[in-house]
Amino acid sequence: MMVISQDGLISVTRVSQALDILTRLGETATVMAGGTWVMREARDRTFVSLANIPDLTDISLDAQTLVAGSMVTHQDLCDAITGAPDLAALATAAGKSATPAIRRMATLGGNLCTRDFYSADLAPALLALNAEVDLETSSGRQTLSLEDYLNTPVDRPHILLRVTVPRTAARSAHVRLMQRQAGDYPLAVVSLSAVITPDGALRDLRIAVGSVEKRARRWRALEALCEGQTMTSDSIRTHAALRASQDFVGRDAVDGQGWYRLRVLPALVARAFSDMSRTEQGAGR
Amino acid sequence: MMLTLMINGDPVPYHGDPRRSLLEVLREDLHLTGTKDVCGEGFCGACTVQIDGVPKVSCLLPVGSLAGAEITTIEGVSNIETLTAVQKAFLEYDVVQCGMCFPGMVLSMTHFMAENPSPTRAELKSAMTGNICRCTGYERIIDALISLGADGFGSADEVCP
Repeated sequence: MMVISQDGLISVTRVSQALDILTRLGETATVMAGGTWVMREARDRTFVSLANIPDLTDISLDAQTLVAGSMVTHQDLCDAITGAPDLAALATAAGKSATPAIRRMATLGGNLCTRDFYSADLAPALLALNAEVDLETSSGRQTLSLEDYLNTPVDRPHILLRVTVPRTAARSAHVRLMQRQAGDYPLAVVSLSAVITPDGALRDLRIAVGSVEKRARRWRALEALCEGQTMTSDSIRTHAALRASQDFVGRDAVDGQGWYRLRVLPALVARAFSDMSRTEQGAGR
Repeated sequence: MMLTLMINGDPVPYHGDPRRSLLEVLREDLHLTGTKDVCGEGFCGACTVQIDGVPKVSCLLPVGSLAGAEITTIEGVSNIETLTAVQKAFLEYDVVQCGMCFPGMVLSMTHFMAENPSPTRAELKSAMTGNICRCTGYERIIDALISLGADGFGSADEVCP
């Protein structure tokens, strides 16, 4: 049963209702999660609010997996996982993005689904942590790697239900650069996850870059250069400097030019590596 | 759309577009102008209110999503004869300059101080992210909050101006 059905904002209690309405209204409607994007960019459309769908705000964390519903806020996500060494990148991304007030409103699903928002923090962190997403589409339920979800067309409309992150013995870190110390969109983001073997080599290395291009993505060429190697901050920085302009096309925008985003990437990779190596829990900036 | 908003403890009927921001409704319909309209994009914090006791930016809250929520604006944090401890500290340290940021500062910092009664300066700076003071009066605001200390943060009716 629908809770509220009024011009402009429709609040649903089931995912299937949301899909039905989005199919019927087409481009004149948009999903509303936390509201922090649609209130700025889509107020001419009908909002289909997911706030009253049970389960989408659930978080579970055990030794095997983290499962977070798409309506979990950044703050709730941060609170739930702080202290988990392998999830340090995600805790930093969720706990440092935007501002405290926005973190209490903006959701995990909104961060991943808003394709016009290029500076998402959670996307690179979750790419580095090898996350999967569960979607509900008009043709049924799908499970995709986050990488596939971000980089391939998916049936529209769809609703992102939850994100699953496998727990590992890895450490992780998330580093973001802004014009100011806090409260801005990041110019560039690097998330990194790896197991550091007793002899100091990196295993299962995943590096993800956000905000540099329109969509976050893995830096596979750099991963291949460093996998299995014993690295230092200086050596990984050198590798990153050699690859950056070959592997990315920096995005020009009001907050920063593309060349600058590429220029800072090696330093951010080195910082992320240093943070990951320095403490058992990883660290963030 | 018709719904009832609960604002500063009073039920307020609302008829209109549910996508209007709470900020617009507070200022334009209800003339509660203590909530300031500055950036309109959630960055500056001048429009901060508390929703069920938690600070949020009212410019990005569609009013249609707030049925049943307790909304507290700067006009509702204390009555005309009393000030909260945060307000009193702001007064004593003369932190208010142009006045655009401080209602949002009060609502954000009151919540933060209740959860963290003995913060460090670094913690306060982090908590103030998103409440921008264009007069750059941050250090004095922090001095005022530090002055409250673990024992100085009382409820509204314990501190009078």
